[in-house]
Amino acid sequence: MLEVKMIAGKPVTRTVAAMPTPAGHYDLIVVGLGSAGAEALIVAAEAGLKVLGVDVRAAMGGNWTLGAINGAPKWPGNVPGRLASLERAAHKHGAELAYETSVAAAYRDGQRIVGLKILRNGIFRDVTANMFIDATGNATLALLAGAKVRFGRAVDGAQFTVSRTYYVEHADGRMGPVYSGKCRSPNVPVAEQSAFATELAAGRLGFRNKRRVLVACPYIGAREEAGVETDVVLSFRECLFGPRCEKPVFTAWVPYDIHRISDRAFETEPSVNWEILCRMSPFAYPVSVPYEALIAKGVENLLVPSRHMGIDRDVLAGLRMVAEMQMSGKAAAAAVVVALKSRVSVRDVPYDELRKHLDRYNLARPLRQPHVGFYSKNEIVPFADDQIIQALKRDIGNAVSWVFHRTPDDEDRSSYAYYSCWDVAERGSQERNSALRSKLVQAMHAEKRYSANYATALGIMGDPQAVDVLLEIVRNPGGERDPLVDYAYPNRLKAICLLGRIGPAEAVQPLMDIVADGGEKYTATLLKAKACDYSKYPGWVYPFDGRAAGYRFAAVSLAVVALDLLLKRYPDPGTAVRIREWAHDGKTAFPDEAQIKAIAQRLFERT
Amino acid sequence: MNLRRRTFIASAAASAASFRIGPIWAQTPKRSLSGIPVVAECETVFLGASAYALGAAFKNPAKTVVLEQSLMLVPEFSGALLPNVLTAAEGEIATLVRERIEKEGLSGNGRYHAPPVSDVMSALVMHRKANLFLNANVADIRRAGRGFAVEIIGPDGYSSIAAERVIDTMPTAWRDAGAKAVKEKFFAAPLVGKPKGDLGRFATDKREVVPGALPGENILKVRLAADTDWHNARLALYDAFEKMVAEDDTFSIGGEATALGHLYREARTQAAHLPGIVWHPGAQYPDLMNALTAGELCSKSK
Repeated sequence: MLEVKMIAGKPVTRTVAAMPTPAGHYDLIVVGLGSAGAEALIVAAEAGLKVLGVDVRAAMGGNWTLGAINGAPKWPGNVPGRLASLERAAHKHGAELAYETSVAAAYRDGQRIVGLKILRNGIFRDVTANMFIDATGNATLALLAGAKVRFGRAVDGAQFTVSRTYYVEHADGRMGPVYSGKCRSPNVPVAEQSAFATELAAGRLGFRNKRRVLVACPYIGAREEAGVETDVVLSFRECLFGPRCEKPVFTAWVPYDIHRISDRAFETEPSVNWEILCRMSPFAYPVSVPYEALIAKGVENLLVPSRHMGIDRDVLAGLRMVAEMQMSGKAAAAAVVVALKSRVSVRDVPYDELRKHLDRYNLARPLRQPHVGFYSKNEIVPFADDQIIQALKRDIGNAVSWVFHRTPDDEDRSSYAYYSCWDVAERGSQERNSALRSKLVQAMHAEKRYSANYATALGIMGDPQAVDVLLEIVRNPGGERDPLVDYAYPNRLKAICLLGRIGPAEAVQPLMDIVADGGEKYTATLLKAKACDYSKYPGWVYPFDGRAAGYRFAAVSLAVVALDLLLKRYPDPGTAVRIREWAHDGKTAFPDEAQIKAIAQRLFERT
Repeated sequence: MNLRRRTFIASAAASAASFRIGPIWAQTPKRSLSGIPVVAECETVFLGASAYALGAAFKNPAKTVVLEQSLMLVPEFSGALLPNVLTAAEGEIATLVRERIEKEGLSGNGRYHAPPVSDVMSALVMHRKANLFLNANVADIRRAGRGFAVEIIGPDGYSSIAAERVIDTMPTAWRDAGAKAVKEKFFAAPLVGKPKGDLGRFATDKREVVPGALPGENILKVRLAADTDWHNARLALYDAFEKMVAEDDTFSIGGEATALGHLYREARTQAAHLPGIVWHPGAQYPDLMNALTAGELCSKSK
């Protein structure tokens, strides 16, 4: 048998003859009682299992309670009401709670977790169980169990923003949260770090604004932590274009929301399509989570709901919300109940039996709607070719207006036109694909003012016929094909991105020029466009902050990614040397350029 | 003091490594025989980020490390919500804290608005460059040479701190060694709304309503037996509240305390419950300023 401890961030094992005599045995131990873990604990206890819940904090509910997440109809109740409901439910169903308790070690026999050594205030206790759930967020138990874990964005490990919250009483008597958020670039570890937590805590004083603080939340609200390698991993592409899981453990419509990370150029290609090229922020996407995404790979008796689930980072961007985390916890507990009552392993849980339990909580409801406006709640039918052409025959404005107005408008239509092009490229028939491209090419040549819109649509479809127009924009920003539009997400930024994907070798030089001068010339005229008055919306940095540095950051970061792609297709040692020198020169032309240079160092070291 | 930066391992749960606040960190941690990195060496390590501990740490940051199991500072005042009386400040540190409380608009009615005081202390931790380890669950304290090795479990697992002396300021002491010194506990909750009439009518032998610093701020305080845990404290709070609103439903609970309050049998509690380790509970002080001043004096007494 192995005893596994975490020492300085690494699991360290030693062989022991047996684990110490346990102080208790349980059907299930849930480690981490946040949104997912608390629901798992209560569902399992309600089903009659003997359960123990372990958490380092002194309460259940995580972001839902200690983080004071509030404000959406699907998250009912106020903070004390929620705490009361969880605590009373645990009491009613006989769940045992171990608060302010850390996991000090795990005992493993082969691929099974046998028991845990837990610690509260210097007092150790050994406990055993048949099944385990890790809902800690930072994969405490999964790491001890030997599962593989991933952290953050592939290129630099960056994670979504974290928050520290005050739960306040507003002047009109309403209660709600105010946030102090922070994303330390470039590599933001979101688990509690003393200095980071201290800085966040001091920072939220500024958000009090004389309001009465009901709770200074004793918690850091993380939106992303550790992903555990599971038997199946659900991708963003599968969510959007299928095939959809036919036997889900839960389903949801969620908005892509990574919160204030403005360096989106470094995200995945589907993410860039969704957020930058299509501007699909007003829309939700469907997620149908397979059961296997809850099973930690290589471990026989560990389920990993919560943000650990087997979903890629882009799916997490939407699925990370409290309600969905709660659903994941309920689903995991339901699977444990079926496994134990059917006396089968977690991998042999019969879906039909599991489905009965899932339906009790309405977890796996069918995803009938084709696409849904997240805030407008309007159902949208996929566009036909002519609708796409028509929707793009206009100056495309700021599709982020939903943030402030939350009503469907024309920009939503253009977003959906772009998305429809992507959809056709991904899963349309060859005939549909060819027909749409022909119409877009025709429109691109016929409608000079809107040619960039059509070129972008073609670029999204991966069609090189867009290249001439895109190159013209990059070489002549602010020209007639690149009109300045109030509130617009500029075509010249989209052009940089698309040239990286489909551009020829000639695209290297103009993109290198953008990088070399820190995007200054390239973005100078963008400031003439009437920027959204962000001063009205403190805290929003979406997609830029309305200042020159925001545009320059976007242009240079997109150009670096585009050059990485281009130089892989068209190796050019001279440019590679130039960009490496730029990345290492230690100079910064605008705030946060150092972040781009740090990433460029990694990208181009291997070129 | 010599603090060592622990290696940051982005690919593991190490994401939670405590990193530098204080002044001196070396690059390579020493390792104990069991492979546990020694991340800090100091003169005094305090268990619990009490006002007493922070008073000492702010006075002498270069020689002091404070370990706190939670993410909250001065939980015995800010987290417990009560006592919230703001007395005169004596000494440099108490004066500094009082000035900051007043600057943030947290004082009034002879009291302070408790919840944000934890963050006032966070700002001062940064300002004074105090050495603070949050999320630090103390696993073991052993004699090592002339001092102690204090092993903690944080989100990145085990690490160790070497100190010449250990002062335990936690409410019931490490390993609950001081639990019997506690006479009773209490659990508080801020009230919202406008209860009718005199709040004194809600007082029973189990509960009372205490005024706060801000206009209309009232705090429900529920008395608990000394051995009450979090779970049972909450159940008692909800029961007490429901009995109150049965009489008057014009108000509600707006939140909960994030720390349980403690009252002690002796007016001045200090013990050496383990050889060489002083237990001096931070929660025994009747007010924040007094506790800070006592901590400052403790730092000088070394």
